[in-house]
Amino acid sequence: MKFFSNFFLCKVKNRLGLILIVFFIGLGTNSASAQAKTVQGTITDESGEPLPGANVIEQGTSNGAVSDFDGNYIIDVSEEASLAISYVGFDTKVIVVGSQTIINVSLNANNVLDEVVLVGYGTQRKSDLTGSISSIGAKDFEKQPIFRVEDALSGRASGVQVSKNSGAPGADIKIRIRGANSISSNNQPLIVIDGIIGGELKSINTNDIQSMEILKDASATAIYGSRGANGVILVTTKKGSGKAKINVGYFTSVSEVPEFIDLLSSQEFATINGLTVTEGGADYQKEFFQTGITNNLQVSLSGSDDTFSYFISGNSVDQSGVSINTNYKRYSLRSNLNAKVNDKLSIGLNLFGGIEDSHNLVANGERTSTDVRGGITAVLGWDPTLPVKNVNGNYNLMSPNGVGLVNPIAVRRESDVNVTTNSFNANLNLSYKIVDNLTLNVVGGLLHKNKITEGYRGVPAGSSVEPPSANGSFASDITLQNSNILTWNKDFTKSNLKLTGIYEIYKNVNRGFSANGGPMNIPANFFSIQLGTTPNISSILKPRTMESWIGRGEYNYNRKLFLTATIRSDKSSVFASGNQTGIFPSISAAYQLDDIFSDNSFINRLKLRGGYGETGNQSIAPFSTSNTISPGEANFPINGLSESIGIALGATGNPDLTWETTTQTNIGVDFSFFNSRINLSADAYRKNTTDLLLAVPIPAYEGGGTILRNIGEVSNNGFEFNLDAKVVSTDKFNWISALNFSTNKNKVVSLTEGQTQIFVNPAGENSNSAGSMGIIRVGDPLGQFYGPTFLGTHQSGATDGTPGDARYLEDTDGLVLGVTGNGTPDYTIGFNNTLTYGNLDLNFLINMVQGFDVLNLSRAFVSLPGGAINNATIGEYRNRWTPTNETNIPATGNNFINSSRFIEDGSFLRLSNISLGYNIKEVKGFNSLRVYASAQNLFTITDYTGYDPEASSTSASSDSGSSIDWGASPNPRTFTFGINIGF
Amino acid sequence: MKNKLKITRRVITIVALCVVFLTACVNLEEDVSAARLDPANLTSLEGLEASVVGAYKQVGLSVKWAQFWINSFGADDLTTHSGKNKISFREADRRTLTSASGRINTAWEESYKVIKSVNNIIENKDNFEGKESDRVAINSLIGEAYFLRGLYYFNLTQTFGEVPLNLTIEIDPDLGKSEISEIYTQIESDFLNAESLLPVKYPGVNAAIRPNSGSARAFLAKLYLHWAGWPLKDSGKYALAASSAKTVIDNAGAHGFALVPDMNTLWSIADENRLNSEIVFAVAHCVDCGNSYANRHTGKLGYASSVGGWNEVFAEIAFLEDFPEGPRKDATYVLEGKLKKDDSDGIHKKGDIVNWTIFDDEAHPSFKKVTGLLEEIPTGNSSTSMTTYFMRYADLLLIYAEAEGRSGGSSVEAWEALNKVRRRAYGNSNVDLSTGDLAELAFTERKWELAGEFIRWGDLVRMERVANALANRSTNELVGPVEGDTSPANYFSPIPQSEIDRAPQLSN
Repeated sequence: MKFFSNFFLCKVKNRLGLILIVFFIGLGTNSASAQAKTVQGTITDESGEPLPGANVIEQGTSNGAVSDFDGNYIIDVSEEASLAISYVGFDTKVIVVGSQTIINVSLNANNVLDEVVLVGYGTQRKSDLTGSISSIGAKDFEKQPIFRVEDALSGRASGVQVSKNSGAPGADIKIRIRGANSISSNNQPLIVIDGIIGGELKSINTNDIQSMEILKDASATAIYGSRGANGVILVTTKKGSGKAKINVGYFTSVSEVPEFIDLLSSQEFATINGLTVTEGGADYQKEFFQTGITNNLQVSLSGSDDTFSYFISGNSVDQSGVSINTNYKRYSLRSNLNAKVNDKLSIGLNLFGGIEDSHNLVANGERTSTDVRGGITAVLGWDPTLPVKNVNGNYNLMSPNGVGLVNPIAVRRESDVNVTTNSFNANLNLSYKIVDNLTLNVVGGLLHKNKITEGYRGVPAGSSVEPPSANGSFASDITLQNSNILTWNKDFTKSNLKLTGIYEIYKNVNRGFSANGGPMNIPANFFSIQLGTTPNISSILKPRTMESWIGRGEYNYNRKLFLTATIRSDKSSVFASGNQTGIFPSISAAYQLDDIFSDNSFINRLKLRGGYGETGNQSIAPFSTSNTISPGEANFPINGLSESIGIALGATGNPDLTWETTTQTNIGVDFSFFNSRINLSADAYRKNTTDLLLAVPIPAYEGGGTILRNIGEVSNNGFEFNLDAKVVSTDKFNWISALNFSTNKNKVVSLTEGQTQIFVNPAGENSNSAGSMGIIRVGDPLGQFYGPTFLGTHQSGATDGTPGDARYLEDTDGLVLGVTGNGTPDYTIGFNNTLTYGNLDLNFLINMVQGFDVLNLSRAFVSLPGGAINNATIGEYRNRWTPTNETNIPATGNNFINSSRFIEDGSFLRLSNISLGYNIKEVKGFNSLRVYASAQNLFTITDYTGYDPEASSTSASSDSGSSIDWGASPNPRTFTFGINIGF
Repeated sequence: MKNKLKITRRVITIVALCVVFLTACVNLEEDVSAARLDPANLTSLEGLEASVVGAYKQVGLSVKWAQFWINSFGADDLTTHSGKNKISFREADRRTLTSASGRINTAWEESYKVIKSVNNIIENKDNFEGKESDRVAINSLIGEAYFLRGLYYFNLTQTFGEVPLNLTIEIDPDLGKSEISEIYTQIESDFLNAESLLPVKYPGVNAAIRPNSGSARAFLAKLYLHWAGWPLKDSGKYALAASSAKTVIDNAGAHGFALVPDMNTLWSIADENRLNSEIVFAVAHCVDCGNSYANRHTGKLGYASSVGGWNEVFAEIAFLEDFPEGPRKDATYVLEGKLKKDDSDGIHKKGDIVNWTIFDDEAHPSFKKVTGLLEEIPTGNSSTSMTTYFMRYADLLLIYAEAEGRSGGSSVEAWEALNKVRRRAYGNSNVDLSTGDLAELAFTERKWELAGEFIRWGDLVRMERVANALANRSTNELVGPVEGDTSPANYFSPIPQSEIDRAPQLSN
């Protein structure tokens, strides 16, 4: 209770603080000095076309104006003012006002390097960057029909790997920036939306995004200190500008699983096993998969005048999955309002509300069933001689032919599990110019997420038919953040110095409760959970608070030498006192070498960059430093007749815990060729993560489980480059091409003292596995697969085994177990192209992921008897070993599912997107009109025999073993038709 | 300029004020008691009771699956399926277990989880003060903790030999293995503590599913019986085994111990049967209380898949052939079943009730002790409420008879103990001195009486008779001949590799 009352009190104080700020600032501004003169004019491009929405800023101040629909602007400026006129895609011009009152400006198009990019608590010109930052703007992905933000990131930035683990609608997507640092902790990057830390990409409307900056090296991420080690993605949502615009976009897609797996037909299965096919049997893949349909509608209204801008949008997504009885719906509304109260004060308020509904999404898409043997694993292994239902119209729930599983179609059809996530995010951004060079920004944000789960399983998955069951939960996640940013920016004769000081408070409280009804003897629905005969309840509270002081200095000399230094101190509640504060410094520099090239050299720009920084990882659960007692899991019917309440020691706490620290060194070079028609950036980095927050296994005789310790080291070394080029640039035909390449080498440098390996089962254990499925070993990368080596079959006359049996590498001690593969790719390539010819545009994106293995457990389980599946169903079993056909496909023997037999090369090349659009010009009543058709995953070139090499059954946050296909949901092939209309 | 300065000052004041407001509410100390149960606050009788319930939860989990007894698959009474995922059961059956074998970690890890939970109780026993009137209840609960620790170390050392002897909840990853004599001494001490603290009969339960002082003494008897045999062979302990067993038998009425008249009822899941007087100590499984409390090593696990079973625990053929006829044999085996599909012999059809020798997959007899009673548990059910016996009163009677014989005694009471078991097994079939050696008769009687209860292996080991017993394996046994070493060098299960990886010092 104490916690809550404190929290509440704080909220009140916070609010009071905010009111005070507004009040006093308001007072202050009233007496601010008036401007000295008025300047007006028209802003056009080189051809004289007016540019609506261009920014006119009085340099060194936050005083500014925006051009109207006809390119006209008007601004009050002080004496001796200089105006900076900028427009996205055009070179910024600086004009000394002097005695002029009318200034007409013509801007020169397109030097991408002068774009302003977000760097975290501030902005920098792209040309001035010292760190390694990739920037993705709306124009980069607007030609691709997507509604998940992660799709916009995929293949577009070097060093960023987006793995779609699951094709299930609404599934989590894995993002890695320059490899994985942590063994036990989360490796997902930090998401910052409009300055608020800890947002979720999944819930945002893609159409709301203005730009995304991906901070990759530590000199860029150190400003996020203890949360920056996995990289940071900064998302900026749109602001209104210019004349009022209405944009409507709609697309509809059909999706399907590209290819079925070759299984024995009903008749083949029957013949091999001496059975008869009942009423034609069934093709369970056909029964399980379907054509999914997606409808996406987005509407936005935006505009601005001198003092007020607005961007208001709505989005509705309705997606049905490629497997039966699954879908995902998302509705969202956004309102971004910005007001210039006076010359000193401007305020922005962004509001976002969203609802996500997922239906029958299991474990965030990692699995297709609550039971690991169910879902796709069961679809592949179920008895094909039986139809889904018998002649009486009842399900064939169990098979008499040795399949110890419940019919997966019945399980899915009778499953009604709904998760509703309601989000409400608000952030207020207050900017106040204290004096000419000094600006205060106050950011106040709140993220609120409620997640309600209502699950009813009419036919629970498993190995025997159980009564229906219901479970539900409610979880609330609230983040409050206040950042106070003081920026001092001063131009000197040849140099510029910018100093930023930040004080930030961050609080996050996660709490919830859940209820499980247990078996229901009377079939009903979730809302009759009271019928459950063994109800079970639990509750949880996880608060965390952080207080931070941050400083940054940016200096440039003559726009040639750039220096940036940052330091952040984070004090976090999840560590015990004495270990709470972490200091994260960084320094970086860049040097422009343009003048060494003559004016007619083909190289027109060369910049060298270098940086060093330290970041942290503090993603441990609250209360990890204390021993606690866990109730609920320890009940037992101690009298043999009724349950008694029991308690047990929870996980062993470690009061000495502190941050995991990643130090990263980055060197990079940026080239521009042929008058910036070709730009190349290359970066090499070395990352070392020490004091890993490692879940160190405790020997079972010491109680077992794990204890978190700061121990061990992981390194990542990599190289990446981005190349973009205007391949063709004529009046009619334009071709813009962007290629990125990333390679990363990961290595476990050390573990606990005296320990060289940890065995892991990232997707869960199974008794058909010989030893564990994964191993973390010093000297090896993360993601190593472990198991026996498959050597084919014992042939006739063999003395060491039964002919036809699977044969594995053995020595005198028996089976030899070792590393069989690795699930992390060697390199990835993204290749994005946009071609425009007149009103036609074509976009295609190719993604290539090379040099990784997949443990294909979906195939393993159905290749030989083992566990619940007693008869093989895989197609290749047709050609199994027989005395007359001695192949290397075992007919009998031990089926070790983690053997090298089921390790497959997952490398793939995929046409992730191809879109063809047509812009219909000059239609009366419309500003713009575009129709398009597109296909995602049109083809994938791979040797992988499962549905999809990208699909994996491990959690998006884990890296100890990636790429395990244990009934993972494949990514569909999708065809889309859409229209965008602007009014 | 003046104006500017004023504003600056004002804003600085505002900022300073705000920072003061905000910092004042940043509390960075975690308050564990706001969200969790702090172990330090656990001092009441109710807290102790709940801790003991938590320990039993672990006990229940430890015996949930058959792999808890995996090493005992080496005995001549039990076997498994020849294929499927029963790899490690087969390895135990053929005496080829290695440290990398699957499932051997269950006996290791689950036992130590029980030990951790009771160590936590014993270590904090002085914190539980309670009212004076709670004293007896508190002592009983602490006594249970001692009892469970003795019991689980006994199982551990019987399975793995030398094991680390951890008696605290402090983590010491460098702890090495203890010698067996040291472990036995500790077990003796725990059972003695348990005996002194436990009541004569545990209140609130219908059977000894919570131990009483007699249960503790009975396990002392069993400990001494093993102490006298391999590997320590301190034959002086036979007399202690006999006298300990006799103490319990003499007070059987007070403890509530007695043989049930019909052995079949021992495997029944009716409440009045599963909680019976023959329990000296057992784990009760209550499916009605929650599926997680189910016994998962019985029911379907004991049947062949031809009759809808799970092919895990089967009876051995030679043992069955030698089994003496009588009511006990009927209560021990299930020898026929209803086919789930047409048999490959072309004669027997789906639904026919046939002898086990006809089964396609696979020809093994079943133990009724595993399958339960068909009228109560259908062949497809793998979650049952059958009781998991740690010791039946029949076991204790036979310990007494054998220990008495081996310590040179031949008392009337000891013969009567043996005959009590025999009378139920065969009808009227008493034996006496003229029939043979008391100890050997009792030893043989244990073979039949306790078949399929994972006890036979321990008996063979302590008498070093493994090789002898396994030589009698039927050639029809589908798992095949015993290939591993049957000498004492291979009696213990290797320590699981996963544990050696966590604690490399255990490999020595």
